[in-house]
Order: sequence, then structure tokens, then C-alpha cells
Amino acid sequence: MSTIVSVSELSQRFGGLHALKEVSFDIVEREILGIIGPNGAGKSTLFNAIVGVVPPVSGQVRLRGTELVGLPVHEVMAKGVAKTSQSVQVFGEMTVLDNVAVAALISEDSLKAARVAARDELEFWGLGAFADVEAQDITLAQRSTLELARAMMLKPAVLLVDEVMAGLNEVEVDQMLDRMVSTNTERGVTLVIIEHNMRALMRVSHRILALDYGAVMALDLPDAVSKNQRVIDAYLGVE
Amino acid sequence: METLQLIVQSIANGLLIGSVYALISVGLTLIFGVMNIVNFAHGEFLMLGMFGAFFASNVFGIDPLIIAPVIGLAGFFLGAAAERIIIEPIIKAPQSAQIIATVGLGIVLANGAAAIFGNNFVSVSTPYQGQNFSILGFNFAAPYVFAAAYALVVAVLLALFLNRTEFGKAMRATAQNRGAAQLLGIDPRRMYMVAFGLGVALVSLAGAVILPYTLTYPFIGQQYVLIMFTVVVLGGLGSVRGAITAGLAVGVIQSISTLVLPLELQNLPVFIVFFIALVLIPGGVFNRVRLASIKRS
Amino acid sequence: MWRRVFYGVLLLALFLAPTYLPNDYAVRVLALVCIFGAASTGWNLLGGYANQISLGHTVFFGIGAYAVVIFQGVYGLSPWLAIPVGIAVSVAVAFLIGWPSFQLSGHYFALATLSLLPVFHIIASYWKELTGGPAGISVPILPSGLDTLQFDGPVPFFYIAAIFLVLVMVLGRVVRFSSFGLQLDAIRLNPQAAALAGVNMFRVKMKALLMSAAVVSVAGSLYGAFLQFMDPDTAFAWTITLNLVLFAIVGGVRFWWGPALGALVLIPMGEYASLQLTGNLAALGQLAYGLLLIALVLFQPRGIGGLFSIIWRRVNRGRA
Repeated sequence: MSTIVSVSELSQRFGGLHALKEVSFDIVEREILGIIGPNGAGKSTLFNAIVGVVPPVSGQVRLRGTELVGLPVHEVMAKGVAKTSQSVQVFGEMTVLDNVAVAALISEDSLKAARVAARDELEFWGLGAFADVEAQDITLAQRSTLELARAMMLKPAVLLVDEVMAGLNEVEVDQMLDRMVSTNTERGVTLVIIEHNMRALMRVSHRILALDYGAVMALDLPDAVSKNQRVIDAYLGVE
Repeated sequence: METLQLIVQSIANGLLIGSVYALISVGLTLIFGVMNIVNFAHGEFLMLGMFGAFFASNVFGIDPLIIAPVIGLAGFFLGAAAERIIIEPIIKAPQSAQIIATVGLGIVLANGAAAIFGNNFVSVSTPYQGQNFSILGFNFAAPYVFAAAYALVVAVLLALFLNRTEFGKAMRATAQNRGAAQLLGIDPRRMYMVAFGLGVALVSLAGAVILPYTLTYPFIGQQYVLIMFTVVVLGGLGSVRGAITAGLAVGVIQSISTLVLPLELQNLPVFIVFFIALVLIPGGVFNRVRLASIKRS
Repeated sequence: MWRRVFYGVLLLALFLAPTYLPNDYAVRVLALVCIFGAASTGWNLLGGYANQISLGHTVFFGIGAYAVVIFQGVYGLSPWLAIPVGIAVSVAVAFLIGWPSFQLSGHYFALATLSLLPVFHIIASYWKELTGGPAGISVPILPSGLDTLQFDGPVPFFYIAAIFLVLVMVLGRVVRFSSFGLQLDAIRLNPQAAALAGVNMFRVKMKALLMSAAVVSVAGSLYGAFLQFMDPDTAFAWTITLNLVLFAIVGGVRFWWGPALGALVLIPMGEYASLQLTGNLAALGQLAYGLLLIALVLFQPRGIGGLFSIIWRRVNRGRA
């Protein structure tokens, strides 16, 4: 399978803190890549660096050969890499429908067409019933899903999902996993997922990337990673 | 050689006046660094300091330079009060609300002064106004020298406060990373009040100190806006060290430009500097804003 | 359906005003309401819809005003030619000031726009050949007519101002409910999320800025024609910025009719106050404006419009 995104020597610093240390890895087209690591390992920082929300101090990120580092965020979105945020970012006073419609404007010309497209996307994620409710009035878990819907509305080639299952119960987790797998297999989107829910992540991921202290510890099949000594040490018995 | 002498004199004058620009602006940048708020009423607090000194001079016969520390102290309490009453309630409000609130405050202060004192130009007369210092063949008017000396002393005291005292260090910590500072037990609300009070204290002291060589009127705050903002942007919003350096730079630039431009246009090069700073140096010379804003988001 | 009737009634009330207003003075005040209501609506496209506070829109107003006065007073040209020139210059200045500051946080934009005022005041005072310097330029009395924008009474000018207001308010409404308006809203509500939603924030903000600069420039041009005189203090007065911002906030920045409502409420009050308060006390009027700004920000940031929507919501809930 071919590489869709190649991350090479990506580094990030916050003052004295070396948050990402020359991180390098490839994302395979149409895979589901899970990212694990203890708190503060640099997972969200990695996403932010790839997409340009917080540009890295050095390194390259290439999407099918196109350099992403240095581009403004909206251009990265336009090129095909979308992202959700760990701290759920939605437009509180806007309706759920409009939250997604904003993203549809990237490919639709009129507001009307954007809203029609948005409705379809909402249906896929099970939020159709809430279309006319203000985003601040739905639950946190629903807002998390809303962010996903908005990101998917951009029709990305690669979707970076940051902790979307917090606050979901067992049934909802299964539902979310189904939808993500469907996004991957039926809609052809490459997924990179940060998740603390290990069981869920291990189930769906084709490969797992383990980060600790801003460096790559392991990149392998889920089974192999779960047996990796460094990974086990880093987690000290979690899951 | 004559031109060289002229240029050096100009630079020296620029440094003198620039040190005062630094003093005026350092409070503004300090407030922003700690609270992430631009105090659009800063110029009006300068005006109040000037009027306070004028009052002391005219009614009690006390020289502005002597009453300046008292003015600064009064400014501190005034600033702390303003912070508690107006800023504190909107500290979590969107930026636009904060901008408008301090703009409103400035309007209230300026027009309040106008209603009480009338929109007239006032100035003081002091015994040293006509005096000159002569060093190495260059002449420096005494009021400017005294003002600059004051600025230097205050700068040193401020540096000591920020670097050597517990409170000062706590304030710097709050500026760099509010969340972490809170975890260390520092109360951000207290920091905000002191920071704002300190910022106002610095600028009102500056007002008292410059009164001997300039005049004042209730709306003079707007005249200093361009200078203050240029210094603060050039030095980096939030950087005290940057404000000091930039203040000196702006003073020199303004002074040198009077060699080639008519006096009324002396602020145009300042604006050009402001514009260039805006374009080239988003974080300012000392780049602290970028780090601070990353940590806050 | 009822809404259309409501708008119709308001339009009638506006255009029939000269018939029921007591005197010429009142007509003139209403003309000012139209001009400044339109200008404030223009400011609001950027300030209210996108939450980017410009403190320097006076500059565009002053440029538009000077354009008319210079064209008519110095070159004897039609004010209608001056208006596009004013727009062109204002838009250019707007672009120049927006370009570096839109890439930075909102504070920088407010700072940068505020700094424009003293600069243009200096230029206007110094460039005597163009602007007449501190003394300003007067437009000589010309034969009445649409081509000179001078009339025997205030009524014809009022109609021009009223038409302008209606046009600008229509623009405000159209923008508010368009995809452009949605993007502005996204930027206002959550800039981080807006970027992640693919919104090109720079381009959207710039578009709003240029549009608002053009509107304010035309308002300034009308004002210049109205006064038939301009000088640096009148053109680049800090009070104009204050008015534009205040009217929008009082009326409600989230509403396309908000700024106009604010102008309608405050300008007559201001006129009344300035008649009563003279000398030092004149400053009390401005002081009240400052207090009003603070009070609104602290207690009712949504303005009168916000109050209306609260009442409207309660009425609807009662009905349902």
C-alpha cells in the first residue's frame, strides 16, 4: 500500500520543553492508524503541528508529495487533511446544521446547497434530529461527534481524530467505532485516531503508533505494540 | 563635523525622550503581558498624572518631580480600583468587550477631566525649566534630563521588582503561563489587580515627570496613542525589556526625523516604524507573545 | 408576512418624515441619523458580525468627506465623482492596515486602526495644498440641484440620506443571512474552529473590512456635502469612531438593524444634550457615552436588540 502522508523529523518546542523530538513516520493510504501514549506524550501536539494550528519549529509533513508545514490551517484543510480537537471546538450559538454547513462552503457555492449537504452528513453521524438545535445545547459527547461531522464535511483524504470517545457509554462507543470504520472502508478516508480507550482503539486500528515524551516508541501491528516492552513500561500496567 | 555634532545631539536627545516613552509604555505592555488586555485608557491615565502634578504644583507649590512618586502611588490605587470595577467582571468576556470597556473608560476619564477643568491647555513653571546641562559640548535641557533620570531609576526598580521579589516573580509566572501559576498557588485575580495598578502607576508617574517640559489638556491622551502603541508593538506586546528598548528606539527615530522633516510631521516616521513592526515582527523583537499565546490557547 | 408589513410601515414612516416633523432642524437631525446609522451599519459588518473591533473607521469617513469637499470646493467638480474616489482611497488604506494586522490577534487590529487617526490628522493638517490645512476647505454656495448636492432646504438632502440608509441596511441584511455572513459568524464565535472548518479567515475578514470601509466612506462623503465644509478636526474626530461603535453596541451588534436603531435613539438625545449642556458641561455628554459603553459591556452586551430578542423568545415560549 502507498504512503499518503509522510511525517519527517517533526520537532516542536514550547520554551524549554521539547514537546516533539524529530518524529518521523509514514501514514499508509486508507489505513486506520491508532496513536497511543501517556498524558503529555505529545499526541495532540503532533496533530496540531501536522495541520498547522501550532506550526512546528522544524520538520516536514508531506501529503502525497505536497508540503504542508508552513501553510495556513484552512489551506491544509483544503488540501485534504482535517482534524478534530481534544477540547471540543464548535460554534456554540450556531445551529448544529450550520456548524457543519460552514465547512460545506469549501465545496458548495450557496448557503442553501451547503445546508443540504450538511444535513446528509449529520444523518450519517446520527445527529440529524438535532439539526436545528444550537450547538451549545447538545451534550459534550454529541458536540464531539459534531466536530467529526464538520471535519468530514470537508471531504478530507486524511482525518485526524483527537479523543472523540470521551464521555460515551459502551453502546455509543460501538456506534462510533462502526461509523469510523465505515468512514474508512466505505468513504475511503485514512484515519489517524488518538484515543485513551485502548480496547476500542486496538479493535479498529490496522497499526498503532506509540508516543512517549515526544518520541516514537513503536509503530507496528496492534498485537506487537501491546507486547512491546517499552510501551508496557511507559504505561506501567494501564489496560 | 557640524552635521555629525547635530546628529549626535539629536540621538542623545532622542535617548532622553525615548527613555520617557519607555516609561510611558512599559505599563501598557506589563498589563498586556499579565492580563492579555490592551488598556486603551492608558493615555488618559497619563493625562491624569499630568493633571495631578499640575494641581500639586499650582495649589501647593510642590514641584512635579517631587510629587511624582505620590502621583504614582495614587495611580496604583486608581488602577487597582478600575481593574476591580471594570476589568475584573469582563476578564473572561470576548476580546471585543474588553477593548470597548477600556475605550469607554478612557472616554470617561478624558471627558471627566474636561468637565471639571475645562478643555484648556495648562502647564507648570519650574525653576529649572530654563537650565541646561552641558556635557562634552552638547546641551541638554534640564527637565528632559530629570525626566530621563527618573525613567532610569524606575526601570531599575521595576527590574528589581520583577526579578528579585517573590511578588514580581509570581507576576512573571502568571504572564508566561496562567494555568501553571495557578497550580503553584498564585492567585491570578490578585496578580491582575496589582499588574493593572502597577501599569497605571508607571504611566501616571511618567505624566508628572514630563509635565515640566510639556503642556497638558484633557484630551492629550490621544496624542500619545501612536507613540505608546508603536513602542509596545515594536518591543513585543508583553515584553518589559522590549518596551524599554523600543521606547529608546522610537525616541531616537523621532528625534532624528526632525533633522529632515518639519516638526509637525515628526510622528509620521513613527507610524512607518509601527507599520513595519506590524508587518515584519508579529511577536515583537523579543517574541514573547508567541509563546504566551500558544500556552494560553 | 407580518414582517413585510412591519418593514413597509417603517419605510413609510421614514420617507414621510418631513411631513410630520415639526421643523427643518428636526429634518436635519433625522438626516444625520440616516448618515451615521448607515456608517455604523457599515462598521458593524466587521465589528459586530466578525467581532473585529476597528477603532479607526473615522479615517474612511474623513477621507470620503474630504473627497467631496476637495472636489467641489477646490476643483469645482461634481460631488458624485468624488464619492468613488473617496471609496477607492478608503479601500486602499483599509487594505494596507488590515493586511499586516489580520494575521495577528484582534488586539493588534484595534491598535493599528486606532493609530491611523493621528496619522491622517497630521497629513490633513500639513498637506495644505490638498486639504487647506488646519483651516479646512469650504464649498462655495452653488446652484441648487442633485448635481451639486446643495439644496434650498434640508428635505431633498434628507431623502438622499434616507435612500442611502435603506440601501446599506439591505446590504447588512443580505450579508447577515448569506454564506459570507455564516463565515463571519464562525470567525466571531470560534476562530480556532473556523480555521478547522476551512474558513479562510484572512480573506473573509478583509472582505468585510473593505466593504465596511467603502460604506463608511460614502457616509462621510454625504456628510461632507451636508456640511459643505471640512477640516482635520471635523474629519478625523475621535468622536466619530465613538459614535459608530456606540450606535452599534446600543442597538445590538448581532442585528442588521441594530446600528440604525442605536443612531435613532442616541443622535436626538445627543442633540438635545448638546443644546442643554454648554461650556465645560458639554463634555458631560461624551462622558455619558463613555459610561454607556462600559455599562453595556458589563450588563447588556447585546444592546437594545438583545432585549428585544429576549422578550420575543419569552413571547414565543408563552405562545407554544
